[in-house]
Amino acid sequence: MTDNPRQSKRPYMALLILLFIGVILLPGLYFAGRFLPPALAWACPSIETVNMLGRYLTFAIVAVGLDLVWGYAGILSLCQAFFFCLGGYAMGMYLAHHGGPEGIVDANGWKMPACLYVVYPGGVGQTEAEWTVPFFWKPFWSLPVTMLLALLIPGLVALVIGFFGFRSRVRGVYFAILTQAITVAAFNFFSMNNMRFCGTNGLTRFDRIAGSFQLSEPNVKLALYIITVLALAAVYWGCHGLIKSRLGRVLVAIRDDENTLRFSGYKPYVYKLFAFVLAGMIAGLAGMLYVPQMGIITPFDMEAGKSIMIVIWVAVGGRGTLAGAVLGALVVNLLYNYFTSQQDISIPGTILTFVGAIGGFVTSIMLLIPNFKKNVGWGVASLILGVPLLVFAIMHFNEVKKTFLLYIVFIVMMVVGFMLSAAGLLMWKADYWPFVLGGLFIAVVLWMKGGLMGLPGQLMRLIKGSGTGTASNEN
Amino acid sequence: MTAPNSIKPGNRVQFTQAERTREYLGDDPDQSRLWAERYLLFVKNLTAVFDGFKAVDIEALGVEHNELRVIIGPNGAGKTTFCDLVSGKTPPTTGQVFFDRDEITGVQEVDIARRGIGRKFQTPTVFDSLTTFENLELSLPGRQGLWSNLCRATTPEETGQIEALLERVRLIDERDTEASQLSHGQRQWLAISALILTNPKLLLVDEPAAGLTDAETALTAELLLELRADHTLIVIEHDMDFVRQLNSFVTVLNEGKILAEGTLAELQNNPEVIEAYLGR
Repeated sequence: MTDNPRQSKRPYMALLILLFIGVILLPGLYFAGRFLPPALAWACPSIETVNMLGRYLTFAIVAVGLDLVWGYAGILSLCQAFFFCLGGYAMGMYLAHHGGPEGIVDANGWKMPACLYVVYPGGVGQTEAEWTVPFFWKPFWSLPVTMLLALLIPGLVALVIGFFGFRSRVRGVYFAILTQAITVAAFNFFSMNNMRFCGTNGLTRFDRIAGSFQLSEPNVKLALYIITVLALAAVYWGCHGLIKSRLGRVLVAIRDDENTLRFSGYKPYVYKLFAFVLAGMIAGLAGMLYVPQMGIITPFDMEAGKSIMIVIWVAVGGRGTLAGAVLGALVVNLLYNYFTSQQDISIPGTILTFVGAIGGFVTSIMLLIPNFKKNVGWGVASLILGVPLLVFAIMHFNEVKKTFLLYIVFIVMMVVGFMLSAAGLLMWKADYWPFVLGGLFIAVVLWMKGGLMGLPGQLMRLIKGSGTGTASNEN
Repeated sequence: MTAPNSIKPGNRVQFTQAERTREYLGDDPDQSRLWAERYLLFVKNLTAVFDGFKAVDIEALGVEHNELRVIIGPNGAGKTTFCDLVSGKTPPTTGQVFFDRDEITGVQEVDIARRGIGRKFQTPTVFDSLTTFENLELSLPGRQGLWSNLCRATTPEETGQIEALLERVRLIDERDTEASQLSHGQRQWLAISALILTNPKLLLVDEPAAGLTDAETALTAELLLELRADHTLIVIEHDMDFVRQLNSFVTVLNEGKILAEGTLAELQNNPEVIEAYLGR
């Protein structure tokens, strides 16, 4: 029963899978797609798909950071999207400096980024010639300084929030509310034109990165994707090392019982601060990698809901397992991608019909066997007419409860699948996504507390019949 | 089991309750320091008031070096609150606490713990998601800082020390079991083991025998008596058999005040004590 993620026997499995698929398989398929004839190339990912995966992998990086503070140390932070955007804005300012139309220059001869020029909050009576690029934009001219600041600024903000929050022992839901309030304040701050962060328009008009690499070039996109995979691998590796160390055990102890730890001479706030700052910096790194791949960053990327999404990724993947955080971020976002694009549902409909039909057939045989045992005549009648079988199942409901319920589920699946495939022109609407997400989240909360990572163990237990199948006996 | 004779004559300066009160009551700081030197733990005029209710009101209480002191008393007598005051969980309303010659009134619980007061809570508090071994790893002395936890793994000597202790408390088979899977008695012992491993100067042990079988209780008593060789202990207990096994100097608390002090045999003949506690 003790599937202890901290003592996993295959600690590097997830890392190897990630590196193999991320760095070898996908780029390989992509290159194959370039050279294969179109008849075969359709199965290979396009550069757009690679780019999309690159963005989702940056989400996975944030999720690993959140898992460190929430999954291990038990601190529910709702400002990870804010840290993500701090890193993103840093990178965005660098890219905006080096993008857009050339030739816009401020009063001091400094190149003015196009996105800032468009929404510049000029003073009354000020002419365009008098506008100046604010001082805090200037460090972001250089890429190394930008990369450093993209890590340091979120780290510093996390340090300040954490110092005051943890020292005064703000915990649990109160800390979540505190961090969410800070995120909302930050959203309002970045939305104002007066703050010279380009308002709600956000930072756009990016062209080049690291000198002369065009962001629109497929090779540059691929390179950014590979850098993201490697960054994720490094973050995963680092966090894994941390979790395996004694410090990881202290973090888990903080989650379990912070007060007792204090009587053993530990200062929990120091550890919490460390994990929180680290997670903030990891989020900053993710944001920094996200922006060149997305091409835009706006205050809406740090909305309160975005941080909650990160929590959902981790919960779906499996809280308290680093691989789960990565898996959850990828699965939820790929589902999002699937359900918000137009899909022809006749194929899934047909699949559903088949599964329902096969399952219905098997379960009806399982129902027929006890029927024949009870009464051969009735069994024959059921076999020919069908309806007596239902009468039998309802009359002996207690004996065949499980099989009968499964039978009904399969029949419903078959009918729904048939209806879907018959209405083949019916298109899946993007509006359904919130329902899918909500359903997924409810399913995780109610039935699979271990998330996707806990699913194999849960299924094993179900097959062995030693548990109820739900995770309610854990913790 | 032959219980060792714990009260050594001559080691203890015997005072009656009245004498102690008279001596301690003055506000003379020199006098306080003198008593703080004599005792490892010394509290003076200690009160804790919650919403007008005086949970603890102790004029003076001293625990000598290498003493095992048992505190008994009916429910609500203020035994656990006394522990809270000493370990820094609750700040006292008035009064002073001296430990190892220093005043520790109002010091943070972490710093009190680092000065050498260890505590086992009434309900055994262990870290559920950690294994038995990992629980004890966290209690290793001198390893409470961030960097020593991040950069240095547990040494083989430390592992040996933990395993020896696990052997002693019969938890060695549960070395890698998650603490949430342990039985109540095992959790008690794990909590006590964690306390022992921390190696504090003073151990506050709150109800170590609660919910244990007779055999387990006997082993617990044995462990605590062994510790007395180089530790000072305050044991809070309800179970009279257990107190008898400890055979130590007993303080009886009632309604926050010290009702009587002495050996268990003496106290069992004290009409006030019988009235308040034992008779019931």
